[in-house]
Amino acid sequence: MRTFKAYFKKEIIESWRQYRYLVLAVGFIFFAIADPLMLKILPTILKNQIPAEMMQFMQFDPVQAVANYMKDIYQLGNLFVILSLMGIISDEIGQEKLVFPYSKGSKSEGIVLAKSIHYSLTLLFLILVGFILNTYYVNLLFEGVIVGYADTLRSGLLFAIYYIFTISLLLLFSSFTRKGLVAGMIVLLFNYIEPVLYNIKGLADWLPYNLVRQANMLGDLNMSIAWKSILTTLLYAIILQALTIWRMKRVEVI
Amino acid sequence: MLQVKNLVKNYGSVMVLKGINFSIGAGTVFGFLGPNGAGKSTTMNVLTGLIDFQDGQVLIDGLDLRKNKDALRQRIGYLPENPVYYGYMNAPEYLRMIGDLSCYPQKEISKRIDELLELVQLTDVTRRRIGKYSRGMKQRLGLAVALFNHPQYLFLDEPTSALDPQGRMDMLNLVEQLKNLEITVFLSTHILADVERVCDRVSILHQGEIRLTEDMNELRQKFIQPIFDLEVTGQLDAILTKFSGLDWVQDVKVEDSQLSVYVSDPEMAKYKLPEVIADFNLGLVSYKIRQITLEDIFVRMVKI
Ligand SMILES: Nc1ncnc2c1ncn2[C@@H]1O[C@H](COP(=O)(O)OP(=O)(O)OP(=O)(O)O)[C@@H](O)[C@H]1O
Ligand SMILES: [Mg+2]
Repeated sequence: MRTFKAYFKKEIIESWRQYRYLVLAVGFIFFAIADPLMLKILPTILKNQIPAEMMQFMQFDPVQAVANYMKDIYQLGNLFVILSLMGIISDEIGQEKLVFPYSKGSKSEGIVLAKSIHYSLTLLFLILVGFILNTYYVNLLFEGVIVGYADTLRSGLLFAIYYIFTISLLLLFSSFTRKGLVAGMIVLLFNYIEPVLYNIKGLADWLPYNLVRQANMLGDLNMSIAWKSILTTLLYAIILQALTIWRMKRVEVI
Repeated sequence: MLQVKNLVKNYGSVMVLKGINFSIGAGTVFGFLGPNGAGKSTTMNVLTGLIDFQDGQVLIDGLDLRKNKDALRQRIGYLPENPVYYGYMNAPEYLRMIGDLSCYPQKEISKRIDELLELVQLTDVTRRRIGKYSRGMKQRLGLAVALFNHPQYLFLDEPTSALDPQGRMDMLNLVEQLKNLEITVFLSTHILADVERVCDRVSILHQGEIRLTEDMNELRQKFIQPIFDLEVTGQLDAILTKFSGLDWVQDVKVEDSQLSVYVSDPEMAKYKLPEVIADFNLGLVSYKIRQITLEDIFVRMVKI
């Protein structure tokens, strides 16, 4: 428990002083505002370059605008999260930063859980704020059926759970290598393969990526399907983190 | 009591520690010597439970290190060769973290931090980030980290290597104080003068094997004997044959016209050696009695 506390504090100091909060905030919040603005001014920018009949495809309603934001925080968000967290454990092992902590008897459970919970909460917060801002701006800027906050927040929650899985995956691979880039590439690769696997019949429901698909349904979301995805994804996260703890008990830190 | 029995450590196919044995009593300052790459740091990493080993046994206070890692880590303090910190923290922040990790009583952490910063003389730079510290300052902070939870066993890997002369003196004085507190200190260093000053017992490690383990007092008596350095002119063969037949001559090393005569009884040799030289019709250019130092022993042990 004291290890958990110490490392939770350490992650806060680190994220703050190394601008990790800022980077993640750009990934999730900046686009929440920039995205609808871009969509709004896009037709104006392109007015003289594309034929008039094409212009009607450039008219978005709030639902489409939110969908565009979700596409971005899936693609760009993953990049931001992976690139800023790929060294989450490997940097500590590779640079021998765990020598003092381990020599003082720190507990691996504490280290791993502090990291996973800290970044899960950080992303949960940023994603929810991002969705609130995005909802506000799409309703403000676009005409059409208004998007409800309840719907987008529910989608935000699904995204947050999806990212808890990404964090768990990063934790595990990061604990097996001394180079963060290796862990990052593996997780990135997995992210690219997942939508492909999604097309395989029977597999879709079991993939964390399903959460992203469900989130895109907004108001049409089928809660019973979503629940199944939420529970399996959280189960994966728990298994991945348990494996990480197991690994961290054995790793040689010097 | 720290016991190391037949310890073997491999890195891949490279055997770094080839079955080493030694034991250190409580309150001893143990000097661990050896040339670069001998395996000193590797030994320390094993003894502090940070890396695993292939064969043998490590017992601390009678407890097997492998089976009691968590309990034993509470009794150990380690200052590694290159201490690494979270560079964006300042010293009090890092020490507070160490206090938590070692489960130090919560209410006493602040007091302990002040005490240690005072001890290692870093009170002036408490606001500076550790990443901006000099090497010597990092080493001092490392000592504070190692000492934090009042360890009974302290492992110091070349603790004075980056320190200025004053810092080195302070470190050695501190080690002497620790001796009085019954703390066992395991000290690896290349500075033999430091060893002669503070250590009760030494080991010399070479290519993963222990070449010698001895109490400093016995070492002084047994090895730290004077050597007779002679420079002579003339034919040496006859006198060398003569030396090899004398039971009070242990060893003779020849380099051109220089002879180094190692003897078992220096008092007697003072009288007998001139007699022998006189018998052989040699010109005596110089005759010197050299006090052998730990350095000579070290060089002799690692040359074989
Ligand atoms: N992680 C590792 N992988 C492979 N070989 C290693 C590793 N660590 C150490 N070695 C090898 O083990 C041997 C002993 O290294 P060690 O660092 O213990 O020496 P040392 O006695 O501390 O030397 P120095 O006086 O230079 O500090 C060296 O040959 C080194 O190359
Ligand atoms: Mg070394």
